[in-house]
Amino acid sequence: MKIKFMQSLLKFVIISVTTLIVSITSAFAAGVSILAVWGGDEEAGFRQLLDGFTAETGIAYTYEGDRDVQEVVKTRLAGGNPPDVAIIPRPGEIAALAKAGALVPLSTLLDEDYINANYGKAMVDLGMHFGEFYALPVKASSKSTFWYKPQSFKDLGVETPDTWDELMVIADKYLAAGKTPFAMGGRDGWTLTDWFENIYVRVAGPEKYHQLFVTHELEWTDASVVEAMGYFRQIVDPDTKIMGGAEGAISTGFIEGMDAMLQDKAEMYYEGGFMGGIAKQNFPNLTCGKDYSWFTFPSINPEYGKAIMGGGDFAVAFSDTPDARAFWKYLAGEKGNTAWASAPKGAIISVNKNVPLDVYSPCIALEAADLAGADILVFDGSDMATPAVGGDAMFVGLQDFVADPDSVNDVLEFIEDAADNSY
Amino acid sequence: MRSKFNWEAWVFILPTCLLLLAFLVWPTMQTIYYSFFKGNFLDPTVEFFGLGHYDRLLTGDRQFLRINKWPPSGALINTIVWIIFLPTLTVIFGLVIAVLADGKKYETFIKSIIFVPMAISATAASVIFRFVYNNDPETGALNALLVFLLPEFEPVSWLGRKTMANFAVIFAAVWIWTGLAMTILSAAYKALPQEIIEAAIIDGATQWQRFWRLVLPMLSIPITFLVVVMIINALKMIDLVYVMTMGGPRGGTRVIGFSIYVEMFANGKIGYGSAIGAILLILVLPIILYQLRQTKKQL
Repeated sequence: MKIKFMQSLLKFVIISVTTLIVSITSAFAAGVSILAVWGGDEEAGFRQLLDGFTAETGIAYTYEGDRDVQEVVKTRLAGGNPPDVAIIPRPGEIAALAKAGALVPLSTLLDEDYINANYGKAMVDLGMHFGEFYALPVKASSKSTFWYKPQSFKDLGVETPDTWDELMVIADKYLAAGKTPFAMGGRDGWTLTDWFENIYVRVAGPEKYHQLFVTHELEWTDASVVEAMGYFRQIVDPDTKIMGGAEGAISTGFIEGMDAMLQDKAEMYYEGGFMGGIAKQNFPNLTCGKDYSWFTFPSINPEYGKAIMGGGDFAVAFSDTPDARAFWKYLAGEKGNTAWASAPKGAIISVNKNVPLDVYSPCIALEAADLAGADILVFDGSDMATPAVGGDAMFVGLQDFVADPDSVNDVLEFIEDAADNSY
Repeated sequence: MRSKFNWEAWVFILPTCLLLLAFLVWPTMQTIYYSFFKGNFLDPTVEFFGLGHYDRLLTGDRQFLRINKWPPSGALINTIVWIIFLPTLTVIFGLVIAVLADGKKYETFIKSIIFVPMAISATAASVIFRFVYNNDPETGALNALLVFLLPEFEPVSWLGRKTMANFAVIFAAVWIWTGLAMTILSAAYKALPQEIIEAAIIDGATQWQRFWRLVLPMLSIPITFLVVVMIINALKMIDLVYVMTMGGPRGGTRVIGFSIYVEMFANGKIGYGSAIGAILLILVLPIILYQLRQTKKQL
């Protein structure tokens, strides 16, 4: 009896001590903690960089992937336990964090020369908030990619469109041929905001775009918004042009929309360049560039041409420790980014200007070139807008618009009301 | 002797009291307090706002309550629809199945099948129903069935039509919880005193009369219990909505629980979300008080 008791006591002591040591080391010594949105392939790609960091510096890292990263960051901040580094897709969210004083400016963690040696000015500007460099763009993608099927275009006898009018001609030809021109993924409200933003920057230009989304100097009832909605209306009204009609459009998820195009239920699908990776995963026997491809979202007002709307993710800092400093240096450097951009799974388009273009596959190299060569580059507007507008009111409002295009004024007043209460 | 302070009793209930204080009373008070302020997640009390949030919720936020346009809409209305339909349908289906299956040859088998959804997580159930409701009959089981039965039938986008989507989600919840209602009512039904029913048979009561005049009144306690549980389930609904529709289409399935999540965590409006939480508390309180009184009566 006694021996048994001693044994279990010993076990208990050993387990407690190890737990204690593990928790102490993880709290004080375990290098760098990183929180990001990525799981699956995307995480595997990012881990190429992370593993390279540990191999080079010997500093350990902990990675946590969570789709609701913004919510998790807020909760952990409130609990006084933020990660060292978080990767956040929404500049609006980053501005809010910076305003609340939660972020460490990157100028204290990285040399200015080092930043300029690795990033172009446009990219650094994207990470500026309130005159301070808070957010390092770590990956970029074009959200001005209009997906189509080359063979289907060939059968219809059309070329990829340069202008909006050419796009509408193609849509009408498809209708006449008894096919559905567009699929839409409007259950996810952000696909509709992406549509609107591409149209808006082409109608009103980047300056008004900034005033509408970022500063809210421009009201949602402005004539330029009404004009842009008029173009959007040509897509959704009559709703025979969209798969499943209006109700189908707003109950289809963004992945289902792409799937539908590849299953020949629709002929074109607008959503960002990242859809290529999803298509590759869902339809491994189809090839990008051959079975499906994309053209740049066509121009509307020639003055603004084919402005590129880019999306991306930003890294922000919550702590300033020697380990964190080493990590930031690696994260912003050429070596880690090249490894990440050429990862066998989950490769990204890096915004580090020293990453060679030949690491990309042809379809992605095209996207990287589009991003690099853009005359006008704007960031995703709804991601820059305050969340109550860009992540909520716009979703509901644009769904309303797709379902009932006549309600456009009501919709714009509704979004303006939400903006009025949130900026 | 009786009035002497009972130290031992207090020592035993103290841990529970502390836990309840820390995890229930304190957060509740804090939520109510925050609802009078504007602020952010780091400092929820930047600016005193009085009843401003409540004012906007009840008069200015059409996503929460819109009564100036017919039909009324918004999260509050959607939740009320939940409160009406979820308890009613689960209890009716549960009762009908419990009574009809009772004593039948395949009773256990039927009841097991009806109960299975209770063992499925809400997320999985939501994904299943997203397929069931798909507007393409090739994927959507419901449309496929209707097209098969009625060749003229035009497939409906169950989750794409604002007026329909809320009911579609409610039905998924009914599918999940009917099993619970059936199990509880079936157990209660089997425990009914047979003498009374036999006496009624001897007195010449028809089966119908026996059901309405005897069985139903005698089942009133478990039915009340189920109704209360289902109302609370309806009030705190978020998981099915989150996975099936994200509150859409056009805000048609936004319910109070989902609104709290969106305003607080997605939109970062701590005070506004707290105000919705406080309204939810006001709605839940009478139901909980009623149930407490019922429980006391039975003791």
